[in-house]
Amino acid sequence: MHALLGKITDIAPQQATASTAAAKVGHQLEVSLKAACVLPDRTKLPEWLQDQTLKVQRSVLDAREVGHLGDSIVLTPDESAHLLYPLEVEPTVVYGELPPTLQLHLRWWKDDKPPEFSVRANGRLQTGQWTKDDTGYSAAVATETFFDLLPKLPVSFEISCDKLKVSCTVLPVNEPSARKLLLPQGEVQHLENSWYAVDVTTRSHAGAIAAWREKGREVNHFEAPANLIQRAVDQSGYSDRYRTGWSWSDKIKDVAMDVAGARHESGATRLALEGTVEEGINLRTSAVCTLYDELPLLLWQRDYSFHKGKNDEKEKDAKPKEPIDDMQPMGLSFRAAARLDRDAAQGSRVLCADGKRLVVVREAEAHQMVRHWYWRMWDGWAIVEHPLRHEYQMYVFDRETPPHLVMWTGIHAMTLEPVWPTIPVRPEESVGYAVALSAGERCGATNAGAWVACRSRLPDGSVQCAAICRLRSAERVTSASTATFALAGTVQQAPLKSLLLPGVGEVWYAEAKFPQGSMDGAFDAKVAGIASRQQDRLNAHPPENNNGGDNESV
Amino acid sequence: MNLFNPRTFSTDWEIMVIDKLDRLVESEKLMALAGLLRREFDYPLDIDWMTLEFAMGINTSLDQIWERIQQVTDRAAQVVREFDCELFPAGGHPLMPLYNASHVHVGTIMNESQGIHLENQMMKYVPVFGALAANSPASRGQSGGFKSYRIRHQANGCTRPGFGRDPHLAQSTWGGDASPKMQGGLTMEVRILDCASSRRLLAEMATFVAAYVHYRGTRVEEYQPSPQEYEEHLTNRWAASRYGLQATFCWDGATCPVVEILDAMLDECAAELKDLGAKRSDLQLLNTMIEKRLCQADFVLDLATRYPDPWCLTSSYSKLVRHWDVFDEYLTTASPLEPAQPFNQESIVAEHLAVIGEGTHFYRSRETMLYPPPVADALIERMVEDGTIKREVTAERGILLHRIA
Repeated sequence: MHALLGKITDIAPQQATASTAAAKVGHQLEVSLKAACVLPDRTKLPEWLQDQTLKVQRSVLDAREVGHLGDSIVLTPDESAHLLYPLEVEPTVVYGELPPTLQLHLRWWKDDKPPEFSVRANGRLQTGQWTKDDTGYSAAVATETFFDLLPKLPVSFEISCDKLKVSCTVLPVNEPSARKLLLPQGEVQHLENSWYAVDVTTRSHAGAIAAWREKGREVNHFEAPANLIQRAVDQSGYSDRYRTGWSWSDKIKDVAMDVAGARHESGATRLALEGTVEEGINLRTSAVCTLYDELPLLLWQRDYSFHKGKNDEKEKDAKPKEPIDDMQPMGLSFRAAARLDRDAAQGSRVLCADGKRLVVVREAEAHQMVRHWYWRMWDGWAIVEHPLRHEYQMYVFDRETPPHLVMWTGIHAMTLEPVWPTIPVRPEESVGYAVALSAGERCGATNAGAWVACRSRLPDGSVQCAAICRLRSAERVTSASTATFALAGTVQQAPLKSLLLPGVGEVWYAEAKFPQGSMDGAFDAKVAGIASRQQDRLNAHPPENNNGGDNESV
Repeated sequence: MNLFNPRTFSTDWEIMVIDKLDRLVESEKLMALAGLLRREFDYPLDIDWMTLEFAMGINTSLDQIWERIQQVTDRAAQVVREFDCELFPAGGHPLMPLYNASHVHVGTIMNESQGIHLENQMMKYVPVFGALAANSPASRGQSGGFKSYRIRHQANGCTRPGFGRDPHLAQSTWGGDASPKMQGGLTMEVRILDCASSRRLLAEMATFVAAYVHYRGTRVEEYQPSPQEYEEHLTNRWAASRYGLQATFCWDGATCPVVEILDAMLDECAAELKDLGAKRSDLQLLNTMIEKRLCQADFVLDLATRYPDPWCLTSSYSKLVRHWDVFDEYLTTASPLEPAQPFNQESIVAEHLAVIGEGTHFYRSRETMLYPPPVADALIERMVEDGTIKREVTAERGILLHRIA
């Protein structure tokens, strides 16, 4: 979450209230400030905060904690939210039917009277005036006047006021869709199927996954820590990175992407992004996010391409060059961060396999970076497991050139940061990788393979279950190989089916539908003979269940 | 015998400089500020990583160093304010992996061999100095686990425990908690001390540390700690980093609150203090800290409870410590703290177990309390026997430890 850093223009002592007196607070102060930048990156202010005098309350033991006129003051994310995101609409996303009214709210401090708002949808425009309330200004807008007939979904209502914009989007129930959302925090590309709702930010990181909601349980696998000043997708989210030297380049963090297209095509919704990472060396990048209609499965493909540098013409008469001069070393990685459950025995951890063994890594201390350079994840998968909250994310990648396992344990988050070794790249060549993502509420992992399963409710009241699986040895999958789903005491078997993902290779999946299913009842699965990691298995560990052999039958 | 002649001392005080966007000023620009100050003061003022390093010249008394500290920092504060910056004296940065020190140089030592013997002897006492100076309880976004994260993390390699050197087998070293440093001035350098936030405390602490080292310099003899003694020194060092002046040390075969040891050390070096123009009653802050078991870290921890976000903490913390005496005031009003329980074998095992998750490389355990291999290995063996961990030996990944619930 972002927050404001301002400079103090006035400090006015306030009368102590009963609560501050009870709390033995030394000083109750009203601090006036002019915002200077947005933390944590100290980026420039949004236009509506330029030259505005803002006020915050401070209860402090020692007035020197606040400082003097001209000093800096840091607002908390909660204090900053209404200043950074002053225009809100409720609801922002709704399914199936138009909401009868849109509730608009505005915190306005620039002039005595806020400018009128406008709502645009279906080619129609409606403007209106705000009504003052306790926390700012509000308005209610009926939606029926925008459509003569029931519209085909999705549709969006775009609300504007001055330079502020937000939207309310009405999505179809249980139909795959891709839509741009104008959230108070900024624009995201929203992809949805019956399993997941995924928000891709295009404003930074050359495109990154900012939210990954499992619709069945309404769990956001990339939920950010609350009220903590943090970079977008730093503590929660998926982002890509590269390096042309020792360190990961920071340049990609500031790269905004153009949306090259979002469309639904046979069985999947695709979002394509394009951008330029470094002008000088003419490094361009593209990302394609594909959400499969019928499966809890997301495919993310990242490419970097080098083109002839813009200065090549100028350098014709410069010093002589050798082929090595045009070569760029290029190392690749992604960084998937998720909230950390810190518990040395049962907390968050990473599972993967190196071709023989199941590897389990759970660091007990903060600020631990684990790098394994001497082996690679030959089985082409890694699972980030949060047993205490039953959240599991599986990342599946190419087995021909698998990455090394790198992970980091922070204070609030744990990351998976697979690293592909640096390779030489010439102008007009490209490098990249693809990774398939699946998240759910059960997982299984042994040295024979791994899976993640989840469930979601369908509009007819039934519950669908599916598992995505990566197996070490596809030859061992027979026509009789199945996945078993158990939902609230009912058991179903489903055949394992193969799916070839570009850049990732073969994954297996199984799906089942429970007409009388429940989202509240117990859910479990067993896939290709690999049981789920239940409580009694949480502390099973490599020396016992992994003797280096391929000892799990499929 | 008197290893130090003449008796002198100084400090290298590393102080960050922060601007009005709460950014730390980079080393390149600090060079210019240090250069400006160096033109005005005849002290070797310089920079270290992201800090101005206030080297206070050669001092012979408490009054002298106190005067210099005030003069130099008053002027430095004025200089940086011309660029809308402030001095930010803190042992750790609440957000960044930066640790700062107030090294104390004790002179004048002519005999490096004797200095190495003294270094070995000082291993017992440097954890006491570490507890006294603890002032980095907020670092890299976390707070409260240790009163000196700087000591816990060996100041990113810049203060490490001694290891019993033999002058006949010695090479030049750097970065020990306390060791002779004769490449420039002829001093015994005590590096374990976290950066002070209080000017007066720094003056008192530097004087006391110097006096105590001078005192030990009258008793130098060939000394190598026994394995048992060495283990105790390292345990005490750990206790200092975790508990500051609440720590209870293993001391001469018994357990003893560190404040009682400190109290005795202050009395032991009364004559040397006198040589430095001081008597114990001049060290008001130290006496109150001993009485209340409070160190600077406790002040920061109180602040951190009110500013849980490290950005907000950094902002308020930097504004308070620029006044130099907030800790001095805090000492007068804060309530005394209780001593922590002494470490015993069970709690030592627990400390080691706490760093082990799953697939944890066994060297994490080495790094916990920095025990030498036989002691650290015995602890791993004990945990294996207790059934709290399992050990896995792999060719590619080395020795891995797995916690069992």
